[in-house]
Amino acid sequence: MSTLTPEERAKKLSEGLDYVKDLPGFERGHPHYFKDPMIDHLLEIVLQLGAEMWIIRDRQMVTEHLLTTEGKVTPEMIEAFKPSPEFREKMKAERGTYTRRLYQSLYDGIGPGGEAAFVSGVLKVR
Amino acid sequence: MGHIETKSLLTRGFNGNTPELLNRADEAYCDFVSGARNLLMYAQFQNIGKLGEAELDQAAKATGHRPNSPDAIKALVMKVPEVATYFRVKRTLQESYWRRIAESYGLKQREFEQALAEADQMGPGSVTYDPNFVYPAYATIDIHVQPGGYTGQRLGALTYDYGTKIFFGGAGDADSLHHSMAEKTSAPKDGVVKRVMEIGCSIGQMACGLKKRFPNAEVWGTDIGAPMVRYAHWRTIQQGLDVLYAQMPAEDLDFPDNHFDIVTAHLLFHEIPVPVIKRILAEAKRVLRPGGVFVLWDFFSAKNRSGATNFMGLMDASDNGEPFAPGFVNCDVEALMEQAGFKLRSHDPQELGRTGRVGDKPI
Ligand SMILES: C[S@@+](CC[C@H](N)C(=O)[O-])C[C@H]1O[C@@H](n2cnc3c(N)ncnc32)[C@H](O)[C@@H]1O
Repeated sequence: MSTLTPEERAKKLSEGLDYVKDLPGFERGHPHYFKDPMIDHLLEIVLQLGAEMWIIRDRQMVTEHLLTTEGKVTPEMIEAFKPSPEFREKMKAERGTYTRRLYQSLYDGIGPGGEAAFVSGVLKVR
Repeated sequence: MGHIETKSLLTRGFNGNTPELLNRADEAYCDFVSGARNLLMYAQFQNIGKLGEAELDQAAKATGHRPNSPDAIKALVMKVPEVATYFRVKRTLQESYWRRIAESYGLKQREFEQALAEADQMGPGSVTYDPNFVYPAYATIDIHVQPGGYTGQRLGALTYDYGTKIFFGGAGDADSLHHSMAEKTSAPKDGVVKRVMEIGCSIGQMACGLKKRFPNAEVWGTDIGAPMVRYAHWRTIQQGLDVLYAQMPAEDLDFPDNHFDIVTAHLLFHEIPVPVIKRILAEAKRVLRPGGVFVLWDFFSAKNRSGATNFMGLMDASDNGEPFAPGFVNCDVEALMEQAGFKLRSHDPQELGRTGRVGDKPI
């Protein structure tokens, strides 16, 4: 066990690291990316709206599914609903179409991009 | 309050080993964010990188020098509307999921805190931490823009768990990435594995993978963050695995010399300052026995990959809460491992799913 007090230990762990207090370019606040920050706000709102609308669509799909398979639906049933792998895939495909339709114009100038996944996009696993 | 049953706490159960969010709406919100990240960010990663680099090349031609400070780079590339859009979307989605996840679990803040307090005293495995621990400044940064980072929120590790699920866009579900890395972790050449430790273990995904891989070994997970090791222990109990967790800075470990057969560090080094990396390497060497092995998986080194310090990397550092990543990429960690006294067995740091860098402590 360390024999130092917590403060002494923190000081020791911080030795030679004064530069951490002022990291160049490191963005801690809420940066904006357009010259007119209102464009940033609008894009944020548009994304939030897309998310909130998806919530309603998701609920509607689950509701229809439960009505079809169980003949009834309650809020508790919706909360407890565990989608099967097939249903999950169906939702995912629906969500992909929905997101593309809403936002495809954002990158109109540069095309649809590559394969849409973290692993292929960023890590490029062979 | 009486004893908290996991079942009554998590009315919506688990997703793999990650607690489901507390209502369907929050889950749907995060599904949207996760899908949007795949489509609006990852799919455009290469395109945006090229656009930004072209803009910087052009500036270099015009002025005779290429800007290299983040502010100067941003001033130039953000003039390209698609580039500005990309980073706006990225930052918004990043901030959005942290906020929504914390709000969701926050509905049962007290109950979660109680469950963690109860788990502190339970097995299998154990956890130790110091409630009075004082963090060095580098460990209090909002890494990945998560409010409170790894150390500042009592439920920060729970939030981090669901957040990384989104970060990997589904590719790491059910701890699959970690478990495949654990499977491929190199063992000492003599094959003797009695004690294993993952440093910077976060929520214990890798430590659990290592326990499955080496069921008869004593497996430790250590991390500087008390919220991390406490939650890791709770999460590991849910899986019925016997892992020992402790809050310990990896550069100052409370273990004797020559104690471990394997020490692993996954995605730790790019999140800490280079001087700390050097101290950690010395400490890992100390606690490993002769013949023991240090396994590092992390970002590639700049010398191994052109474009490692390109502007996408710099933007990630500055606007996605990875302030130490450029330092790591440029520090030549392979050389640092050798300077610390390890003999490099192999390194293949460009691929996920391989072991990255493997260093033996000479006999
Ligand atoms: C990206 S996470 C690592 C994730 C984990 N190893 C995995 O593979 O999922 C980095 C972790 O390192 C911890 N950390 C940061 N500095 C540390 C230090 N000096 N010693 C130990 N852990 C540290 C953070 O608290 C955080 O949990």
